[in-house]
Order: sequence, then structure tokens, then C-alpha cells
Amino acid sequence: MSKGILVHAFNNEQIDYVKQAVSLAKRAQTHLNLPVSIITDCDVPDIFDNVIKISKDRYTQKIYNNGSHAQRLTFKNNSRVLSYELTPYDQTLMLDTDVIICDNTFKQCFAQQKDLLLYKDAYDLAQTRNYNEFDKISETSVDFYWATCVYFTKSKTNEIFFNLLKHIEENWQHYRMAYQILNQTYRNDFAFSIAIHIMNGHSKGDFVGHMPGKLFYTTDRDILVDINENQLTFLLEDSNNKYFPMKTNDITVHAMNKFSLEELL
Amino acid sequence: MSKGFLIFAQNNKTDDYVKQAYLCALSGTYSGNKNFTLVTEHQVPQEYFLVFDKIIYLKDDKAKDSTWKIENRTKAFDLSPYDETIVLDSDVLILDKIDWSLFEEKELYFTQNPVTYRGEPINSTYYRKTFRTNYLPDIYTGMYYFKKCELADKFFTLLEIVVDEWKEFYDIYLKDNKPNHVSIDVCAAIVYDLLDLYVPRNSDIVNFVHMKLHAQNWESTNEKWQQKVDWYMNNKLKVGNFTQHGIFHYTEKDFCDKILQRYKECIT
Repeated sequence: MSKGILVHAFNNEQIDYVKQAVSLAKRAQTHLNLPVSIITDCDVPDIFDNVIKISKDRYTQKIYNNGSHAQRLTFKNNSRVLSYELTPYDQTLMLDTDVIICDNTFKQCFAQQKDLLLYKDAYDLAQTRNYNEFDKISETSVDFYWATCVYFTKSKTNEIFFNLLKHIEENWQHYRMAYQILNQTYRNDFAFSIAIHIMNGHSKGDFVGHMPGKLFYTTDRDILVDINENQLTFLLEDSNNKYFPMKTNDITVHAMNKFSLEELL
Repeated sequence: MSKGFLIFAQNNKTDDYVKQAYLCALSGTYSGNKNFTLVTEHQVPQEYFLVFDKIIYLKDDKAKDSTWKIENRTKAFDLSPYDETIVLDSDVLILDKIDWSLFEEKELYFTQNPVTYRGEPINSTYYRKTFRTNYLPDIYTGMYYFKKCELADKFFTLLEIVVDEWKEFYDIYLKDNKPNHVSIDVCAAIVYDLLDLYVPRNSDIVNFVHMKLHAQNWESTNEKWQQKVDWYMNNKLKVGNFTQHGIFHYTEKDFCDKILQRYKECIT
């Protein structure tokens, strides 16, 4: 059974996702000893196990924050639904490029029996903030699942699941209204959450297993100040919009501020 | 042992509870249940006879001058034609076939853990302040079960006394948040307490979805739950894209008219 990591990296006007993917690939080699394949529309350095080039013609836009500074940029995020058919591996760990791997927790994915794993809960490093938006995809709607880290195997059920994801992505405006989502921007977290809900028979259920360990995150209003091996230093925004410092050691973190991440790579 | 459902339905000036009871029995029939008895004082339209195996007309209507029409509920034990009875509010749908064997060990059983349309425990105490502040057993009469047995006989005998003298009992039991009308939930809870029957548990034998607006764990609310989430029905009822199971207490009266026609089409 082949095993590996899959990343999607589509640069936009300002953000170099490929650069983030290169960093992730190096860290994956160090901590997980796994090859990394990339799905992209760019030329990439010779570090990846496989380079899968695709281009999609439907892109959206979203607000990217860099601390308190915000700007609207192109958001090329709709290739994720093709992961099942594009992955070269039997067992795939799909990661966002802004996941900074600092430990080997993800290895446990490959030593368990479930065919599909996602995080349902994630933990804000700042701890004091209240992010209800990560509990449900909208106030009246279904449970929120993070598409940031997804483990999947090649299986008939996962093929159906990813086909459903493709259908949801292609008909996003319908699904966003059916699931009471106000924001028009297509978001993988939402599509995965809806697909999981449907696969569970429109109920809560156990179609998806839990990814190992905990997913820690910082938002794009936080600032990543330093990366020193497996020690990360952040400035985190509190609920009063004041910043305070925090260091982490040997903890994998989803650092959503792509600008400050990129500056340090 | 005969088993069946008992539904009390007495219309008042604004609401057609008999029609709701008809919908309730229709939904139960559709989901594979049988034996429905209606208790009412009204003449019932001919088409309703198809779903009820028995219609009991109240001889001594204790709720004649009442707004909430709950006073006759204390007669459930005497009126039920079944050895085992599930008593339902009229404004509920029965969405699954009830597995009666799950009640085998029970003599008297009340819903204690209603859930939201998302199947989550109800966090809000909005409708339960009387129960919380007065430490009453947190039971719901929207769906309960009893066997014809000594304990149930005693329960209903006491319930009749409490309902008849509800003001006196409220004065004794309810120090705060005292309702200004007789409530069957509160009276049943008082009797439950008198008989020391309450055992807290985390889930119910039959899923009971409570659609009261403030019970949905929403931060903001409208006037009706139907304004907040959509619903549709193919072979199953879905609310906010969640498949509904068990007993669905829709609470909003206009929902009955909207869904009744669909059930009629399904049955015929």
C-alpha cells in the first residue's frame, strides 16, 4: 500500500502557495518520513514525489487578513474535490500548505482502520476567543469539519464521497442556500461538512473518524513571528484586539496568516 | 398484551387539535405503527375514522371551560383500551415504527431528554424555568408510556388530585416561576416527585424532537422555527437538512396544514 502526502498549491496575486508547499514537504520528510505530491498550476522545485498539473477555470475571491490589514485576492481552492482521482497513493494525507508540521502525530493516520479522517474540533492557540463559526457551518446548519487535514484511502465509499464533493462544488450556490450559508465564497470546509452530513444520512453519524491528536490553529489576524526548528512564536490577537506573544514547541499548527508564514520561509 | 397510542384532542376557539390528532395517527400509520385511539368530545369527520381504531367521546368533560384543555388527560389510565399505552400530544408526528419491546421493563416512562432538530440536547432553560428553579423532575408529557399496572393506577389517581387542586399544589411546590395556568407537565412532575419516581438519564428510548423556537440552541430567534429553517419531505421529514426520527413535536399549528396533505397523498 503506497502512502504519501498530497498538497494543493495555486498561487494568486500575492501569496506563493508553492513556497509554503516546499516548506511543508521538507518538514514532512523530517517528521513523517513520507513523500509529498503536489497538485498545482505552477512550475515547482524538484522536491516533490509527483507534480500533478491541472488548471481550473472557475476561481473565486476572498478576504485575506494579515493581522489587522485585509485585502481581497483570488482564491483558487476548488481543486481539492479532485484529490481522490488525482492522488498517486493508496493512503493519502491531504494537508493545507499552511500547516506547519512540528511533530509526528499524523503518522497515526496510517496505523488505524478508518478510511476517512477529519478534524471536527480544532483548538485556538489564543484560547480566550470564541469562534462559533467553527462549530457549525452556519447558526442553523450542520457540524463544521476542517478540510485542513484529511486522511483518506482508496475505497468505494471514498470514491462516492469525493464524487459528492465534486457535485457540491459544481453546484455551490444551490448548496450554500440549502445549508443556510450567507457567504457566497466556496469553501472546502463547508463542502466537506455538507458531504459528511449527507453521507451520514442527513444526520450526525460516524461516517468520518477523528484525525489523531488535536488540530491547533491561529487565525489570519494573528502573526507568525518566528520559526525555529519546531519552536513557533506567534503574536496572537485577544478578544480586545490587543496582541500577546505565545511560543509553541513540538506542536503542529495550522497558521492561517499566509503572509507572515511566507515571510519566514 | 394489546399496545396502542392514545391521543387527547379537544378543540378550543383557535386550534383544531382533532385535525392534529388525525395527522399524528396518519404519520404513525405511514411509519408502520398501528392502534390509535382518539379521545375527544367533538364529532369527527368521516375520513378520520380510517386511521383511528377507536374514538372515545368524553362523557364528563372536565375541560369544558378550560383554555388549555388538559384536565381530561388524567383519565388516560381509565380510558385507554390497551394494556400498554403511549400517550402523545396531538401536535406530534410519529416518524418511526416504535419498538414496544424497549418498554418491556418499564411500568411508567416519561420523556426526559428532548432534542433539537439537529439531534442535540436542548441547552436552553427558556421553557423549563419552573422545573429548574423549583427542582421538579424534568419530565415531558409530550410522549409517555404506561402499562396497566398498580403503579400507573396510583400515578393517575394522584395526577387527577393535583390537576383538580393545581393552585394549592403550585403554592406548595412552586416557590418561583409559578405558571398562572394549570400545566400537565408541571402537575405530572409534582406527582412524579410525590411518588419519588424520578431517575435522571442521558437519553430516551424514543427520540423526541422538541421544535419549540427557543429550544433549538440558536443564538438569535425569529417568531417561528419555520422562519429560521426550511423543511421538506420525501420519504423522510428533513428539517434544516437533518433527517428527523422518533417523535417530532412540531408545536407550530400551521405546520399541520402544510404537511397533512402530503401524508394523505402518501397513504392513499
